[in-house]
Amino acid sequence: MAADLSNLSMRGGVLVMKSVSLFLAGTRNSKRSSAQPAAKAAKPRRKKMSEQDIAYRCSMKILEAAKRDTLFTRSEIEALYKIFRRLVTTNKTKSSQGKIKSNANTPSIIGKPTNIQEGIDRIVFREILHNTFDIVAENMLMDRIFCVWDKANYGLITLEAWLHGLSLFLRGSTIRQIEFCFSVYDLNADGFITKDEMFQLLKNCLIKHPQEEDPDESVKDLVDIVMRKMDKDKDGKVSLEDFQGTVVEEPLLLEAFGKCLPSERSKNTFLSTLKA
Amino acid sequence: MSEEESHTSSEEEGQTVKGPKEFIVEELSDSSDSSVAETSSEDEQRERPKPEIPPEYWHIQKLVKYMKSGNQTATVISLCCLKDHDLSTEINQMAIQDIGGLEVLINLLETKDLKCKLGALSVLSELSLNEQIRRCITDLGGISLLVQNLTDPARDLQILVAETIYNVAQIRKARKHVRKFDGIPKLVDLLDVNENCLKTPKDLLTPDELENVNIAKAAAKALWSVSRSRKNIQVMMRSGSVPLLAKLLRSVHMDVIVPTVGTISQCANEPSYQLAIQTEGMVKDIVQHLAAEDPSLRRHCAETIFKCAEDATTRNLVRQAGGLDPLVNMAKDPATRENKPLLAAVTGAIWKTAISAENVERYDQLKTVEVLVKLLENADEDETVLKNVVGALCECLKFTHNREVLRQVDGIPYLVNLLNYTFPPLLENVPMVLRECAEDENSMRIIEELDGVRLIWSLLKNDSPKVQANAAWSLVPCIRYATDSGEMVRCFVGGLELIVNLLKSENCHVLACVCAAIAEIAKDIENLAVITDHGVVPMLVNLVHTQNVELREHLASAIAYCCAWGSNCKTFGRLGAITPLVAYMADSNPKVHRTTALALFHLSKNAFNCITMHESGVVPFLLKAIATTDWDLQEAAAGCLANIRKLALEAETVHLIRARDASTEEDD
Repeated sequence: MAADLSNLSMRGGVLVMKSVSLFLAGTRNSKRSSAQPAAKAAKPRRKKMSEQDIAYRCSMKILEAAKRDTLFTRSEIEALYKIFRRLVTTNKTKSSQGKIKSNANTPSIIGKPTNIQEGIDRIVFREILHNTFDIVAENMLMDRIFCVWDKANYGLITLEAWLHGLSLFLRGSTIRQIEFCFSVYDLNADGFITKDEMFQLLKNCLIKHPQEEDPDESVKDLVDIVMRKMDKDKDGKVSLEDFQGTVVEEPLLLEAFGKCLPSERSKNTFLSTLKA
Repeated sequence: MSEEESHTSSEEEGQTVKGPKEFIVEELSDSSDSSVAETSSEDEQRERPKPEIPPEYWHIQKLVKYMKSGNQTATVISLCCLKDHDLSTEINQMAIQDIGGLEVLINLLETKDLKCKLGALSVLSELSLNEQIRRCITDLGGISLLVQNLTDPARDLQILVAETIYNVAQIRKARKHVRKFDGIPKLVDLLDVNENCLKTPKDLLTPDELENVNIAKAAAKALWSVSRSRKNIQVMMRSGSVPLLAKLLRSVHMDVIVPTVGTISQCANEPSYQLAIQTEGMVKDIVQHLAAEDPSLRRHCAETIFKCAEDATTRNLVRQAGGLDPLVNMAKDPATRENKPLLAAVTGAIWKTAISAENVERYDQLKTVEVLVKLLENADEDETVLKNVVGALCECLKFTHNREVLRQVDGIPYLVNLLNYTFPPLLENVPMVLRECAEDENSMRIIEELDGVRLIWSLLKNDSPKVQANAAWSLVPCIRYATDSGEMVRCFVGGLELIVNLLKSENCHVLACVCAAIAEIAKDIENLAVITDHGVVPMLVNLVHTQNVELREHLASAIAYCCAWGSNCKTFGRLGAITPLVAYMADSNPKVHRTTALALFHLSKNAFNCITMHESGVVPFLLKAIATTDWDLQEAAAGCLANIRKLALEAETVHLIRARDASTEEDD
């Protein structure tokens, strides 16, 4: 049952992405042809999606909060809201039954019965990271990114998390990005990256030779090397300060344990679609 | 099993152990290192029996292995750790090369991952400071990959690529590859920066603008190396580098200007670029930078001026921009003396700019002759510097008053001393300056006292044709103005034979100068006898068919003066010199006319020659020559005609007497 559900969600996820890009392209094209401001949908669509059109308009309260807390402009926030709603809606229709269930499945919900959280689930999120932002990494890393975005631990990416997360992705300052990466790599969120955590992250980064006695030998060695480089205060683990110091000296080590930020190109592409 | 044992025992005890493989004592830092590096270390040791390989070597090799067998994450980590090592030491470089590290780094340039490329390039750019590695990178096809990455949108990547090219293109093969893979137009495009950015100081620029300026700087550096090859300079010009470099020259950023001027100075080897420097108004900017603090910048500016000043317009532009003063100031400055390349460039620039009379005027005001002589005082001075200083003096001394000045500062002894050196370009210049001195009576005395003429004469033995020619050319006034010159010349053992033998040379300029010298020598009758014995007459006649105008002029002069002895006059005629000489009169060059008429005049003292001349149709030429305003020519032509006429009259008279005798015989 759960497997069927996830299958549905998977296919749903793929369809979602296709529809998102189509949606974005559609709005872009319609903008070009009608040359109307981003807030209004194009004429042919208006007739078909009058209901949904209203649903796509962002509430003022959310707009103000987002403008204050993130680095986006008003029109960008509205465009992002549209995308969010689209992703959520497609998610819902594909697994309308499963919505309540998926909520129940995630154990970390601190009960808020009155507020039905709607958001993007893990699977769709992974698709977004992969297709839109060129982040191809192990599942573990993708999950970590999801967890860091989902600060309140709802098991879904809410609108707030969506906007904050994208703000960091697309326009975050170097300091914020360093903090983000650190949080991703700190698997148990205790404020330190330990050798074991590094080992978990780097487990699969070297090709294993079958004739090697201990295939993990080289990974352990690599972990030692990295620890030596990053552990500035020599306490055997890497704190945020250690990490910051290392990255400031050597910017290439920002994503030292795996890719968790979007590529420059994908950032530019995404931003330009927002502008349209 | 036994191998295992020998492994472990060597780890623990660090001593040489028996066994099938040779172990060399070395320090192993920790067991994990040795266990991973074990197999490779044995291979290394067999090939390279070094007394001591530091642990760093193995560590570096390990990092390269992780790069080979790792994904992007592992690669980036390894690259960052690699950068922590000092990559300029030989042992570390060998560590990377021995394990195929260069191939890995170059392969990374082909990937799409930006961080990998940036890391690989920082390592490569540091490694490429070593010449042998440059060769390896080029042989591995590194240049084509570098060039491909020049057009990547990531600007920090572009900067690193250009920096690496600056290093690698110091070898010729790399420069050729840059050209073949169309790297030059791409580099030239990167030079294009907004003029505003160039004129604003760095702290007022936005990060974007600053990056643009840095790209232009890196591209200029790359082109500086690339422009060492002439073909590349031509491609650069076609790609539109001229106006872009001119724009960069006007920037306020010193670190942009240095590579720009370096590039321009190299491009100035091409005549078309020299013209471009003049027409694009770059002379003014270059002169301005002569006052810069950085000595290497000043040197490149001076070198550029040296190369461009062959053209008169440029010389004027240099003067008008106030370029002469800083040059002399630098020549005076003791700090410059320590910096030989700078001093050579400065003195070279002074030399070439002194070709213009107006510039010499300014140089006189700056007391340049004295400054230059001071530079000669150092006996161990660099030979290029000496060559340039002497060249400059030569130009200055074309003006009579400077000859006085030189004598008064006791410059002549230094110059005569320089005749003992062996550097051919220097030896080309020294006789020329002494030639100028010889025109001044008092200076000539000093030269004689110092036995200078003999030293110049011995330069005729030098292998370089230019040296021979200049030596012969400078002998002309030396012989003319020396006291008791005939005696002096006779005293040079083997000297006359030597100079006559030079008539066998293949070089027209040498021949012309030698003939001029011989003309002077022949004015002394005893010496003329000697050179006639050495066979000067047939050798001169050999040359008579030449088309070279300079040679014709001096050859005719030599023939003229050689006629004075014995049967030379007749011999010249008999050997067939006359008709070609008459042909010289058809030439348009007035100098040739003058000397030829003189030759014909002397030759016409012999009756047979007159007949030959007349038959060769010389009369119309002579008639024309009489109408000229050139007095020497007029006189010679008139004298020649007179001789011909006299002979004709004699011939007629003889003819009439014979006829009368014949008729009286008939009567009887």
